[in-house]
Amino acid sequence: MSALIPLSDARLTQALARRAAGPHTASELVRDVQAAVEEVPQRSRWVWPATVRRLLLPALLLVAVLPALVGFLLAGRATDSTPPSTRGEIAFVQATYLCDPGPCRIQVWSGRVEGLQAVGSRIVRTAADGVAPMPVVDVPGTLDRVAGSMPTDPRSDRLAGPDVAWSPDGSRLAFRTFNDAPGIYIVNRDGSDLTRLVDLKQDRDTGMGTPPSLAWSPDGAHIAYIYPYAGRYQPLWVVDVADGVTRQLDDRATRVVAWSPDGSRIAFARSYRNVDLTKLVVIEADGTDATVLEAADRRGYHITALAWSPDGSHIAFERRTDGESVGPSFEGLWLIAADGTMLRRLGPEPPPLRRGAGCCVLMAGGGTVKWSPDGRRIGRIAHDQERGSVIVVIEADGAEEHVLAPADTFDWSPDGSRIVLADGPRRIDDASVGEVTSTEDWSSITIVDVNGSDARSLGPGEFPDWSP
Amino acid sequence: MLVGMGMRPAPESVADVASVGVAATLDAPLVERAAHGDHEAFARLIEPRAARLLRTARVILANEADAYEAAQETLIAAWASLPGLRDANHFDAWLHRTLVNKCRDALRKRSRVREIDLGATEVETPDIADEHVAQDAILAAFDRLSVEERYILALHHVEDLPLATIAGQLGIPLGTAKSRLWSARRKLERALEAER
Repeated sequence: MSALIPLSDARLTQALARRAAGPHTASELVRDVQAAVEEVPQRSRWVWPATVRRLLLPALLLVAVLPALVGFLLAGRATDSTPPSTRGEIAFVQATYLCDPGPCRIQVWSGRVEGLQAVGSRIVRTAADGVAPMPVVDVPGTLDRVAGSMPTDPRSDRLAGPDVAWSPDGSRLAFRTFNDAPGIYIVNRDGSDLTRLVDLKQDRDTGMGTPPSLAWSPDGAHIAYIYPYAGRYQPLWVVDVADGVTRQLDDRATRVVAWSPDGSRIAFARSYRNVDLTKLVVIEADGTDATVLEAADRRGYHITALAWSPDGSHIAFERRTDGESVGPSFEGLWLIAADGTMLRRLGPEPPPLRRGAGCCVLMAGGGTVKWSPDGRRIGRIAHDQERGSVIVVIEADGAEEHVLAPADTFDWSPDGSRIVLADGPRRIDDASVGEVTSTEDWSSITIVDVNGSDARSLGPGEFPDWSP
Repeated sequence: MLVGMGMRPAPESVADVASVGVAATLDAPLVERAAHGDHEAFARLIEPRAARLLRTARVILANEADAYEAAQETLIAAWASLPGLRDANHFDAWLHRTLVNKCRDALRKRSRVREIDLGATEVETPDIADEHVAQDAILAAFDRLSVEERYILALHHVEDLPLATIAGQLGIPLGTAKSRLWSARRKLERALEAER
């Protein structure tokens, strides 16, 4: 054993001073940064002058508190402080499509669309009773083409998007663009204060990604996302909604991310390129203590969707395997306890691949598994060549499963009794390769109850999200 | 650059030695202007701070490339997020918090292989060589500390900031700053014992 090295202040200072020296100069750093920020936009948030802020806040408090106080005194009893109009609203995207020059040609199997253009999209919101949707904000940027670069999910090739997500308190919406103004944006429910939270340059013009493309933390303070979006294995990031500061939590994630209900952990699928499989990983929200919950120990097995149960005790996840001749195949919906125990399959075992069939193989959902808020059921998107995309609902104990309705995306109502879904675009005239001349209602929004009945249309739209 | 063994790095500009608190107050108008997209104001804001950021990143990350990238990303992020900074007087604390996060990200990305700098070619006298061996052991122990512990030791030993300034930098009470510095130092001593 060598002698103990005395640690004096002077020796520590000398050691650190040696390390603090380096070949790059501060002038170089400033020069490089100045060049870089020429192309970096600032977050578009108006900064109140300090003096105005100091006066404004007390004034606002007085204006806000005084009527409430008077109302309380007059009413005589406390009422629910949450304005009813912010609860249970549905937000979705309305895009305008053209086939110009017509007709568009759509290939259902590959999902490719030729000739389809999206001339603009906007985010709207409505109450569940379906009164005329109110515009929230126009989606920034323009889209050169609808057909995307991710053919593994046919939906991404046919819709302009973006997918939208309510903040947990229902006061704001977040969405992510993949056009010529790529980034994560947040906007107030009334359309005010549109802010580009993160500029995601490498997503430029990659087309609509596989939803969901971002995830709010339960406290609304952070958003998790994968970036860059193109490619299979990319870093997992978290951005602070208040100041836009980003942190990378992992460098091998796939597009499957979900916060635990208490916000302390994030579940995601980590990719292992060398052995061609993904594993279910849970990481602390500060990026420490990553734990592999489930190791799919067969090559070619990938986790394509996951969701925490509302009580945080379990994670439901969807697995697919790369098919040998007919493409990716759904391998099952699975349930695992949050501590990594009690792994079991939910629902019936999928039928084996049918070689040479050319169709009728149940494909994996493109990243959509959603637990109903009451914890009783799990919904997922499945699609195959015969039926197209459908919602499959299974009881959380795995006892019963049924196909609910045709849909590409969906969300549960806050009480779990209804589902809002987006259906379309469908195959046209039952042709595997068809032509489209009309783009009206390219995708439409419908509300159904959990048994698939009592359907009510909300009009054209895509990517609905039901606020808590 | 080191002026001589045992001395702290010479400042790269006179402005670099300005205390954090005074600079923050004087620069509040620059922060406001930079937050409105004024590139020149932003350049004037970061020029006196760049050297300290770079030194601190080097101390924490022990790797020139990582340190340069972390410092660069910190300043770019500062530019992008400046409009969201509510109080211009908190710019320095906010900036250094960003640096700590960037350093943490860099360490997380790095593989667990200690890099050996092959660049040193100068011939050392026996006395200097022995001292460097001792300092290398100290640095190896230092690398066992958390990013926050490395950061507070860097502010105290490399930047020679008074504790009151360090407390302001970290946004914590003076007593807490003292306690954290003492705790980091104790942990370093224990880590040094483990390096034997």
